[in-house]
Amino acid sequence: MDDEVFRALADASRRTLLDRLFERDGQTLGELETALPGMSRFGVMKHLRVLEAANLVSSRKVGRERHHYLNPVPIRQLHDRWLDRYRIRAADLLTDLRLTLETEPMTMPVDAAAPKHVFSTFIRATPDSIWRALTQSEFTTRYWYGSTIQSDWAVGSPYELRTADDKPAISGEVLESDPPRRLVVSYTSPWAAKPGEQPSKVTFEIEEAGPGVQKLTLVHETEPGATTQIAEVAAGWPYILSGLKTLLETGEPLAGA
Amino acid sequence: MPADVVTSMSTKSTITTPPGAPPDHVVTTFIRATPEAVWLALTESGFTTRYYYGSTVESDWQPGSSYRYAIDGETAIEGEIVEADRPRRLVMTFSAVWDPALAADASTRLTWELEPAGPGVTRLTVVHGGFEGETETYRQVTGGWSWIVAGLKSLLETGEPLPRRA
Repeated sequence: MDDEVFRALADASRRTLLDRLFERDGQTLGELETALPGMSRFGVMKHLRVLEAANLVSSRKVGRERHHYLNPVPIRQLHDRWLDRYRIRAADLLTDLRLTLETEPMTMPVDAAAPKHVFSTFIRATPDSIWRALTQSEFTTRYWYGSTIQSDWAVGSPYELRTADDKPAISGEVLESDPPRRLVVSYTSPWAAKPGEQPSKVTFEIEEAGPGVQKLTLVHETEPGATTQIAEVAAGWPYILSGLKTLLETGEPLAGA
Repeated sequence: MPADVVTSMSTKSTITTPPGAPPDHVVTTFIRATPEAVWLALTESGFTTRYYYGSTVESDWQPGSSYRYAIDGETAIEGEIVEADRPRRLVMTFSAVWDPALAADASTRLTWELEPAGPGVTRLTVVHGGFEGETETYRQVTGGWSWIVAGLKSLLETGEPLPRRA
């Protein structure tokens, strides 16, 4: 899937069409033609077909006209898989450099800074519905990049998250399970670790935080000394938690599509 | 801000600050609303009273101008607008005065970033930094930004704020 999206984005005319749809969704072929004044109608149609094949654009016939709609999810996935991780790596390099410059080397604690990422949000929902949203595919497919999730959620059981196109995404073992308040899982992802590296750990906690409001806290951490690069995947959590909150509070996913 | 809400843990911790200073408080969320709608919700009392601990806010939002958040007429936060690039970026100095215990703390810096993140979706990031150490202000705002940002998101997406504890 990535290859098709990269190919579709490799052309300046197609990027112009996406920019036009980003400015205003649902445009007709006639309207989109004005974005590429030097190109024939058939040329514009050809580019739209490439974008549709890459699932970046979908079209719908309304009366005699066909309207085109942007689907941002594949680009978001590319961003999360390929761009965010390098940006974070670059930021980490700068940070490391700054720490090296500003800290006495002898006093630098070796393992005090085991990576730990903490996110929390407040959701108007029952603890049970948040628990279900975290553990059942009928919910995860609607906010977690279309992914399915599978487990019996008993301590010691495996779990697996698979992408919308059914590729393995995240897997691990259930370490603690106290529905609907606390879920702790080990976390291995092809994006987070090289093969053979030890898994990181993710804890979800659901606490009462007001009338009908729960505080959902997510902690993603590694053991001190672990080399797993969890910063890469941790950058995706705010989007996932935002989508979960929107789904539970409005009944609709955050992004269309 | 009520201490029961603001003292709970929540922000993303990093190790990116120089020794001696605590990490910035950073909260990111994605909201189904345009950047312009998020900007309005940040800068108009009709919105802030519904998600920002009941505060009104007053400013003309021009760089160099002052601003003031007030709860029941009592000033809670005050400072100066440093940058205002509607609807993308708002930077302000931040002096917390809702509690006499905060009076000794130096002014800090608050940055709101609004970026389009797909059709009809805005990525909102708030960064509260410039703390000289783990000051009383630092301690009291911990957790508060998650609450404010979550309430803002609920208000814009559902029309209703998050209900507060009685």
